[in-house]
Amino acid sequence: MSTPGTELPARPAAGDAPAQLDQRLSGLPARAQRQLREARQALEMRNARQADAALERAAEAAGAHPEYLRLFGITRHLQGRPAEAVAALRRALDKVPGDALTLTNLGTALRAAGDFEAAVVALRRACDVAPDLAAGWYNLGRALGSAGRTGEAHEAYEQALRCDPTHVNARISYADTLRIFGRIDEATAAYRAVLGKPGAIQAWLRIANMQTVKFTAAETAELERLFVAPTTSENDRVVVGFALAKAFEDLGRHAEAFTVLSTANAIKRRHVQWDAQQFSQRIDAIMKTFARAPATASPPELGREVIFIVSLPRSGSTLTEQILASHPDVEGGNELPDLGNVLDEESKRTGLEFPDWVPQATPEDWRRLGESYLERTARFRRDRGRFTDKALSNWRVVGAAMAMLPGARFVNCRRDPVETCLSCFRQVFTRGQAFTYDLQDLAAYWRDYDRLMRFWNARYPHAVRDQVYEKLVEDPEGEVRALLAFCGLEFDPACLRFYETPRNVRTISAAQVREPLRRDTARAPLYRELLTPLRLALGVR
Amino acid sequence: MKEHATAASAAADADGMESARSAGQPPFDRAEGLSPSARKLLADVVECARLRRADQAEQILPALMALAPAHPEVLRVRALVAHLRARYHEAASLLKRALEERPFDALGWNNLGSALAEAGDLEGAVVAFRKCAELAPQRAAPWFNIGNALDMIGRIDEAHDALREALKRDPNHVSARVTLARVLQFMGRIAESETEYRRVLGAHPESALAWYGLSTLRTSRFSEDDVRAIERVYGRPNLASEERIGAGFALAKALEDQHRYTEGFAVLTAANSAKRRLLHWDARLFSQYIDSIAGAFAQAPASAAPPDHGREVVFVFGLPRSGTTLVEQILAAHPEVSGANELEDLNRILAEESRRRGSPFPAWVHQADPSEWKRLGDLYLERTAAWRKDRPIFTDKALSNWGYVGALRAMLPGAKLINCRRDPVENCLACFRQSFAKELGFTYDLAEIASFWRDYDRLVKIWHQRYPGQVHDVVHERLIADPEGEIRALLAFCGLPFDPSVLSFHEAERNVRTASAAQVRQPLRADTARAGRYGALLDPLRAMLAQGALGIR
Repeated sequence: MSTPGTELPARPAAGDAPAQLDQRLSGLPARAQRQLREARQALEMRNARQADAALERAAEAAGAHPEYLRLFGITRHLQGRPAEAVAALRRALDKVPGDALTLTNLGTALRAAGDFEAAVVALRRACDVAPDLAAGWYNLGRALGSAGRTGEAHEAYEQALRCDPTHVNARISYADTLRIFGRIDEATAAYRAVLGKPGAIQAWLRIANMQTVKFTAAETAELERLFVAPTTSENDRVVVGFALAKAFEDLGRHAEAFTVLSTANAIKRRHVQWDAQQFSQRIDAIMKTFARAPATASPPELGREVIFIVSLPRSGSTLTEQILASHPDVEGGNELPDLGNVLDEESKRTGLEFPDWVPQATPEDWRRLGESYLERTARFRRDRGRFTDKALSNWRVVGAAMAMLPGARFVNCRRDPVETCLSCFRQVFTRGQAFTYDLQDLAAYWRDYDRLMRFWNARYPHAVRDQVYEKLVEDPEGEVRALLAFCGLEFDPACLRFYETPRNVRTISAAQVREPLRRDTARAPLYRELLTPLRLALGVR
Repeated sequence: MKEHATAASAAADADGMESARSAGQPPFDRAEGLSPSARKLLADVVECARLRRADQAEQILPALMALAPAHPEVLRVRALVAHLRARYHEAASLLKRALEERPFDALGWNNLGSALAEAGDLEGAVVAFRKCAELAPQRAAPWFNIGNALDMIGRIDEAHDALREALKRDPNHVSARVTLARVLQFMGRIAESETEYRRVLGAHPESALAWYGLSTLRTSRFSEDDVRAIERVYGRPNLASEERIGAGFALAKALEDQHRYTEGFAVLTAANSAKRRLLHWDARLFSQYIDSIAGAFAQAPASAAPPDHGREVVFVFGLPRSGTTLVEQILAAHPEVSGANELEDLNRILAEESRRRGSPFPAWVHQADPSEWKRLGDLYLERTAAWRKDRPIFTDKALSNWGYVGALRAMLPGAKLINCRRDPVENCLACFRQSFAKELGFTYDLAEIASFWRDYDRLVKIWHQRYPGQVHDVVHERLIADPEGEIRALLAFCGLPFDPSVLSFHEAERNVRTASAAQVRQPLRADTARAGRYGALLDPLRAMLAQGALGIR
């Protein structure tokens, strides 16, 4: 699961002091300068449409000017068109090689485009040229974080804070790296240090997500005040609501927690798009398409290095990965975008959506896709022979992954559906997971997951194993042994002491997997009848 | 407050009319005169329209129009696509052209009725549906559509008759029976209404809309068996959002009836959240609007209206579920008073004035001169003259009136202004328990209701300050505790002599189209306070109403 907050779209550094910025417009007619200033102001307000309009007016007079190209690139980035952003920013950079601001913008756009390594290179150059620009270091930290280079990211945030100790986002991200390292107390202290600062609302959520940390009485009172204050914006009320619900839970005030949680979820749900019926139809289509396993040219053992962890959010997948990654032969790859990317590219190539192109895929196509996945994930096998991939979309594509990589193994993390759905409902995700903000959407999603996993289980019994969370908690050793045996791994006692494994964990379960297994993670009994609508929708009562 | 019109918003029913020509005549060939290739294209468009795939239909249409641009059936299918695209005026004009050539086409009239209804011309829709009913006299669908449209424009008695016609032709027409039950509710025939809902549920226990309708009767309790039946509906996967919402509100009511308040609240919360997503509301913008009203009327505008101008009007206002229907029912039981319910006239007059001046209310308030206020008052009296035909005085309980007190004082200084107040937690909870008609966006989120209540409270306090003695508060809790005393005070404020019939207001015969329709048919109940049953679940609401005061609990 993505760490909440770290995936916020970067606010592209449009620039700093107005006087300095005006220098960048030199050589342009006054009119074009005015238009570019207007575009820049619009970008500061994140109003891409207005910026686009201003740029269009300036295009004739200034279309080849580096500042025009830079602002154009930022606009495309904000519009969610990172590839075009990168192209424009590269052209700008050709005209002003080594310009720190352009390099910073390019780096953030490259990160958005998914090219993390190139992003790091561009941002490193920006920091070399302008070592006192906090935005450069901050964005470098984010690119390094995306590339999984948490240690270097930590250092970059330190540099950002050296340049600008009041940089709230850099401080939150800095604390995030501490949490990923497992330095929970330091991370908590760092989050607490920014509470109440403008723009630091996310810090409340970060503390709430440290399941092992409790809010103080004063913090709870402040959350209550923020939640009901008419001046709190809708976005902030969502964040504060999720944190306040956690605070109420800690105090055993579950009735209030439920009301606050429901209110916060309802607001969030209005701001995301989700169509449960459409999603169910997609699952129908997948089951129809894979009614017969596609023929593949992949040799039976292709992909035996890969252990796919499939699950809904909050059902023990981080724990399962932590156990596996404690084994000397296994690297924990976390949520990898690669399988999704390989399938997306095939959809683009065929001009059809997944799974519509599946019937026409040839045996060689499957092999090619499988090899492509292995190539993209080679870095996880540098030190150890096997690796895990726990991307949240894996459960929908088991059939495709089986055709690509018949040697792969799938561990399906199951947990009591009421607990899973409640746990998702208690969480605000930074992006995606739009189905988690309504109990009925969640129930429908769980039902889709359940029926599709049963389908895969029946189809590929040798390759899919259900890892039931409640059983794991009940009988850790028996379950861990069975899990390792299924994966073809020798038993190793380190897997039972997974909480000691020094390894970076990026998901919201980061703090939990640093502790031995707890038997008291069931929350549904605390909410009792308040979960009736969820139980009805799940059909479990 | 108008009741949530679940069945009413459904697209007009058209079952089995594809080939009906007119009474006793054989079906006609709709594609008569078209070439085989045009026939094929036509069939494809019809199929796309049936599947509601406007994109695909629009890809085929140009070729069809090239082959037979003026063929009536081509015009009709173009109208179907325009309808899917929500271009209702265009659909209506295409259908009118088609019907000029084929005035015998029952289906075309039905399509025209639907298009007109969607375009907001419900009167026109009724005329078109009636043509359809004439041409296809055996069909239930046109009668249902007539009844549905009449219900929406408040012609309750005629709606009732039309729905009976529909059910005579097809006793199994579920939507017609659900709508009939609703109409009976508005007519005060609560027992019959319940019977009709139960009849639908006997045959279709999975009908979320019938359960919902039954729950709105408020006066009858759901049994444990009912709870289980509604739970089954609620737990069905892939419910359409309207059904999901209806089943949710109904289940919440049923659980409450069984004293299972915690579960009821949880279900209610989910139903409100789903409903809220279908609506638009901006609490911040609304607060700014209320601020601007308070600012615009900082000084009472000078008016040329004489002091007793408008003394034939009693305006009753307040939040939804604050007792406005009850107060109107009490007043309307008086022999000199008609209850006009929620009139749109004041809203329309002010909107027209805003359009004329090119700026929104209340931005133009300080520009209006004394004679203009009088003119607006005259306009209101003129538009509402029908309500004074039988009795000299009438009530207008449009809920938005609490925002217009300043304007009303200038337009109609003689009008009586009654503000219905109720305990805020009870009032907000009562709103939350209700699924209203579409236009209310603020009652489906506790934070938004609380914000709305604060806006209301703030502005009404300002009115009291600016116009001392001019606005009479009827406090719901006091009315319950001492009906006679409060009713006497109310009548005295309105300048009406006491009449004993107002004490038995629940026996007054009139149509009531609000959520309180069934409740006002009963004597006053002292047990309408509910908030206490929900315990701490409402503490966040209390905190929000207290505007963030610390240490609530």
